[in-house]
Amino acid sequence: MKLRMGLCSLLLLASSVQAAELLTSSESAGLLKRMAVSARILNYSGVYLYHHTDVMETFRLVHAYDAGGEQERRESLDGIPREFVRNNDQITCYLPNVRPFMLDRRAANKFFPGVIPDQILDVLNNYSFKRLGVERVAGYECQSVLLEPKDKLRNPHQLCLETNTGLLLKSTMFAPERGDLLEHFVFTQLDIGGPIDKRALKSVLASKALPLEPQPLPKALPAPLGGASQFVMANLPSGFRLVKEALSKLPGKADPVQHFLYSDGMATVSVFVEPASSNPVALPLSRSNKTVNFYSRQADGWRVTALGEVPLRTVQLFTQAFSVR
Amino acid sequence: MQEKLSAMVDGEWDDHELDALMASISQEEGADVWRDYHLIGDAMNQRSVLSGDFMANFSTRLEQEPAILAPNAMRRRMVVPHKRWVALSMAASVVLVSATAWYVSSARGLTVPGTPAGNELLAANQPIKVAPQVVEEVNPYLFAHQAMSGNPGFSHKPVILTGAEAERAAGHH
Repeated sequence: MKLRMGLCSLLLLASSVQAAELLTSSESAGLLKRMAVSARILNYSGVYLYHHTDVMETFRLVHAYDAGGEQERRESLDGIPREFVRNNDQITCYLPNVRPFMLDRRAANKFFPGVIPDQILDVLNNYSFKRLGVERVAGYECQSVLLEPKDKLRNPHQLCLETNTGLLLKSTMFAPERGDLLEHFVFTQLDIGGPIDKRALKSVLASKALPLEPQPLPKALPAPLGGASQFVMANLPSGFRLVKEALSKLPGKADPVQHFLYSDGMATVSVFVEPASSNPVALPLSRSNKTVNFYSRQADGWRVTALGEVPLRTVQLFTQAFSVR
Repeated sequence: MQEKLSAMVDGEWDDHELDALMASISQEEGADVWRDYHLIGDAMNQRSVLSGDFMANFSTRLEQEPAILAPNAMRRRMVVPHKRWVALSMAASVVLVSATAWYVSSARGLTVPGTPAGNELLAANQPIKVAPQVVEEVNPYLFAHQAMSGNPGFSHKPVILTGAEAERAAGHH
């Protein structure tokens, strides 16, 4: 018994020493690549839990990789049936009695466990990687790694990668200071490797959905709005870069809104700019649902709104960084 | 290729093999994620994020969906996440019920193991007090953000502010 206790404390000591181990840049980059590759090229099937703010949901996921590439189907097991069917970089979402819609490539690269950072370098610049202990998730051992932000503009993330394959088994986003859990993905049941029955990859909801919407051809930005050139972005929160820019048609709004998407490699922030008159509301408006923070401000007849999976201060800084040229 | 994949499953690979594997993937498939995910000048997505039909239909369905009207109960259960997650995964692995069936029932408001359910079930049946204008004000932006950012929660649950949170947020600002 004494020996066992001694062993236990030795193990505890070992794990606490290990907890401080900082990964080098190449180790960190390797980890991110390995995580992305394994999610793509392995066969796996299982059930995972998704928890954010007040909501807990489960999804069943089947992923296969062969000469034809990546095929995947995930379906919600709770609430409204929803289905996300992947064919390589394209994910089609099906809901009963709704037209199916497609997600673009970037969005398709953010689905658990196939989380591919926009820019690996950005992740390395903004987060320190710390190796934590080995955990056990869905029957598999996984190496836990903490992505600790180097400043207060973003949230810490913790990833747990299956020891042999590097497949992401668990992903958690925490609040910076109090460490509250903001968002959590975790496999509860998983089989890695082995053949996948083709039938399991077939959409079930496709037959119940409305016919697919024809894909509109991409159009150029209308000249009068002219994209980012109309606005000055000064003192943007550090570590974020513009990854996408578009005119988004928002539900319930008549006119399209300028939409800028920023990423620090892990977290994203959207900035929307629109004429203030189009939506009179008491401003500045600030809302938080823990996972996503929201801030809206009005200046020079324009309304600037920022939201993202970052601390409130960060979205606030984004709205202040935008001004009209 | 298959050999490498199985080596990967068996854990018999290292970083060099990883690089080689990645290289071979890009050769074999031509078009390719490893190059593509560095491209930030992705073709701009000009079409509307969600069609009007979609939103109308989805909102209607959401209103009819009891699970979504009762997030308060879920929130209370999830207040102490760290401990709870241990409990959840323990329950999932120990109890000889399939994880799927168990989670479905728990999400419908049945008992989560280890939590007294009485008050929470009561709360679960009460509609949440969401300040509607707040949700209306925030949600369009949230949809657009999630559709573009590819937040894995995209279209999973569009209601972002629950009653308690809306009140708290209103109290703070």
